Amino acid sequence: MGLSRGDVERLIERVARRDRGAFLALYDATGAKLHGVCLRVLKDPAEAEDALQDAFVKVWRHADRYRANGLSPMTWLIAVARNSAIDRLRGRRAGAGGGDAALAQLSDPAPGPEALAVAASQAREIARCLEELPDTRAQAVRGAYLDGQSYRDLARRFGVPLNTMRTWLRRSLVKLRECLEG
Amino acid sequence: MSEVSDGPGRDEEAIVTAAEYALNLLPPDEREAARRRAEVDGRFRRLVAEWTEDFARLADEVEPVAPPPRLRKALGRFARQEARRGRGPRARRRGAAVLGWLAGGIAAAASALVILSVALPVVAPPYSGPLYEAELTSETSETRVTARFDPRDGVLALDRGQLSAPPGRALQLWLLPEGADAPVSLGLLPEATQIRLQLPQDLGAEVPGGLLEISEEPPGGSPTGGPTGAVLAVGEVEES
Repeated sequence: MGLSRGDVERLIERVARRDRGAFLALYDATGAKLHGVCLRVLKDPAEAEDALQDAFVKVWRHADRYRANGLSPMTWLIAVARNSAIDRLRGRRAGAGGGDAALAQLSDPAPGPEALAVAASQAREIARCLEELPDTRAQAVRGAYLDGQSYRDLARRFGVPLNTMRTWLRRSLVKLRECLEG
Repeated sequence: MSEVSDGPGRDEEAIVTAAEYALNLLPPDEREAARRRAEVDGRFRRLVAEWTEDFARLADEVEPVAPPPRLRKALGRFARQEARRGRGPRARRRGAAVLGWLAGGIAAAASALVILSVALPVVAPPYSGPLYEAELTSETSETRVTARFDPRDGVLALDRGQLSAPPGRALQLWLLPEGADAPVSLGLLPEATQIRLQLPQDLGAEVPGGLLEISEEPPGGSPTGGPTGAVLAVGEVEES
């Protein structure tokens, strides 16, 4: 990568102005990382390639609203790539419906104070906080995020009923939040 | 005595739902509800953003993997096509799309008289230069027209597949050369499915990298020199 946050942000802004060179530069700078994210979710090279393509098409189409979402540029790009991969994983048509959290957040045009709050929260260490959870709970959160596992997948993996799994994970998320805030 | 206020409980609910939304764990109906909530509820939206930011750090441990080079090529093509659409009026929906071309189109069309003919078979000398092709498609239908261009003889061969003119209308082919603002008419399409157009040399030179478009027009062709009807198919000419 080798690009600063500001560099990536400027590229996204240029992409919003339909700058093809900036689009390819953004791809060169972040494509491998986002490809890694897609591969981790999909575990299939052809599917991951398609998901990555979906993601960059979305980036092209929604770059003009990036500023409004209050996310750092890499977080936004990762979220778009991850959600594209999960869409494919769950057999939904890419881009169908309004299911993409990273893009849905863009529908609000006002940056508002949350942008600043999020920027300030960046230094928080989720890895450290996950270590404070029991092992299996931390694994479940990682599975959900990194592997795109659904509650159903997680319930199967940990051999518990679906509802139990959900209760379990929701409690872990509250704990995680307390740690992150602390 | 059992419940304290419902304040903290609701808070916890918002925190957890925001996390589930950021993780993409919610079933479709709850997901849609959360999406709408994020639109109207600033605090919820902030929670989602915070979670998204926090979770994204887990991706630090994901190793980058170079994607295959063809993807970069495909995205470059995609962006070029989109950027061109954005520059002209085609950024908007198709129907109204062609209006803005009228201004620049007239002069261009005057120089673009093209003779439709059946090209004679050519005994080609050994040739190692590029050949070109395009696939013209529509955003709204299954239309697929293929085109091949051979710069040696200046013949553009089209297979229009299932595409036919609406009743009482004609199909007109246009070329938007790379970097140009207005399309140039390549002529009306004859009835046949397989069509060969002999392009004059100066026009042939503009084909590589250009955009081919088919619009529906009055029977004698566009009266203005630019497309006036709906653009039914469009595609970029690339090296084959």
